[in-house]
Amino acid sequence: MSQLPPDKIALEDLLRLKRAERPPAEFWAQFDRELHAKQLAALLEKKPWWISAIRRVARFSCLPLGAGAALALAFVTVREYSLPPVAGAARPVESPAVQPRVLIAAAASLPQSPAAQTLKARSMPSSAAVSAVAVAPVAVPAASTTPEISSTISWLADALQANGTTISSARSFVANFATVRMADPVLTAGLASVGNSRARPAADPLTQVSSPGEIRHARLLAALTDTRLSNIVEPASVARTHERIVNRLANEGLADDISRLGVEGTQVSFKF
Amino acid sequence: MDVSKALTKTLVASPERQREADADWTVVQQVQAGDVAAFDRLILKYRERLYSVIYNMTANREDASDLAQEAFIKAFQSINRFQGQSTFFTWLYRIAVNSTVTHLRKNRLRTFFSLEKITEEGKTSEILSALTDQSGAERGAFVKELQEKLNEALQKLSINHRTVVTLFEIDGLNHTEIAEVMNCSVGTVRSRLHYAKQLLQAELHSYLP
Repeated sequence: MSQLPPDKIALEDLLRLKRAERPPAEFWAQFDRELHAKQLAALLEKKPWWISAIRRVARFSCLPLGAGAALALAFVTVREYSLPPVAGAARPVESPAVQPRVLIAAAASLPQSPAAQTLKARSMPSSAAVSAVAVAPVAVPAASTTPEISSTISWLADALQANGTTISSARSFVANFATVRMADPVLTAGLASVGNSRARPAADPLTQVSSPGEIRHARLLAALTDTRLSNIVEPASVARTHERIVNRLANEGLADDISRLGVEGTQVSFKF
Repeated sequence: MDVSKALTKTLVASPERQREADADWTVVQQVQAGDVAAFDRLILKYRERLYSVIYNMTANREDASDLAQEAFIKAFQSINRFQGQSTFFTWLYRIAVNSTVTHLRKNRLRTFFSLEKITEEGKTSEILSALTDQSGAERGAFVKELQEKLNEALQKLSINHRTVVTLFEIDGLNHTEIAEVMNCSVGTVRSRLHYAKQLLQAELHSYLP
């Protein structure tokens, strides 16, 4: 049977032996059974909705997945970090033809106002530039001038209405302002609110919050002052005693002793 | 598939292979039309070859059985997306090889051989007779030892080299088909095959003249 000489055996012949490693016939019966069971399970298996959605999108979308993800991320980031809309500042100035006339008239009629002087210096560098300003009103960035303008307009309107002045330019200002207010109440309200907000000094909210230590300090001081000064008649002694109490309470060791101090109503208790 | 690849495939594919591919495509269209039972014909046709490839890559018959079934299930689930751009068997082989490679990479540290028995018939018997003049139990022991040595040598190859050797030497695919299954160039296939054979030659030199 051995027709192949041993010295003719090649690597390919050895590997050919691997083809002869075959499972028995009964193996295939079991294989088919298992496969059909799995096939049936695969048929009955309900896929999550997002798998079909992704396939549908991938089929019709020309964008690669990475670009789509980047776009989605950019959208979410922009949406997340966009500033909240400021009331009154959301709408731009829509009637530039009216505004410069108002400003010029206001600046000319009330030179004594510092705000008006500033405005005049900015928007009217010379008398010859009046017409140019009227034609091209936005010579400086709108964002930087709007609060000043709005405060000026508010102030001027109030001042004129309070004085009942009859200057022609002032009348024209009032008329123009009324026109603007009628045409765009949102804008004027916004300008007024911005002006008002600038008029108020900025206050740090943290400075307005008193700490529990401060509250406790004030309560102790009040209680001690009431208790100790009630019997003292001389004003000099009262002042000295008060100063001493304040110094004691301001002591750094107060924190250590605070657990021993108790204040109830008008009484102060010390624990030793 | 680009033009050059399609042209290469057309030139290389034999008429017999072409007829086979056409027959497969007809069955696939039936399955796509809703005739689920038609898929059984494809299973029956390719189960042994597919099992053999996976078995020779894993050297474990239980894993091979599971992975072959998994490949058929995946093919069945995705058959609506098969548009006939490649032959069905290439597509099926690609699914099976990818699943097996993933499995082997996942279980790199777990190597457990579970081998089938060598069926001695025809050419196989001839080769074994040339290698040993023993008979009976001694011959059986020799065959078993040779089988283990062969598997060890194959397992020493990298996954890609083992896949190329399995597909070319054991399953009989040509270079172009292997390139299509492994999604690489024909040159890469040739190079891997050459390197793998060198390594196997060194490992099995005691059985070779």
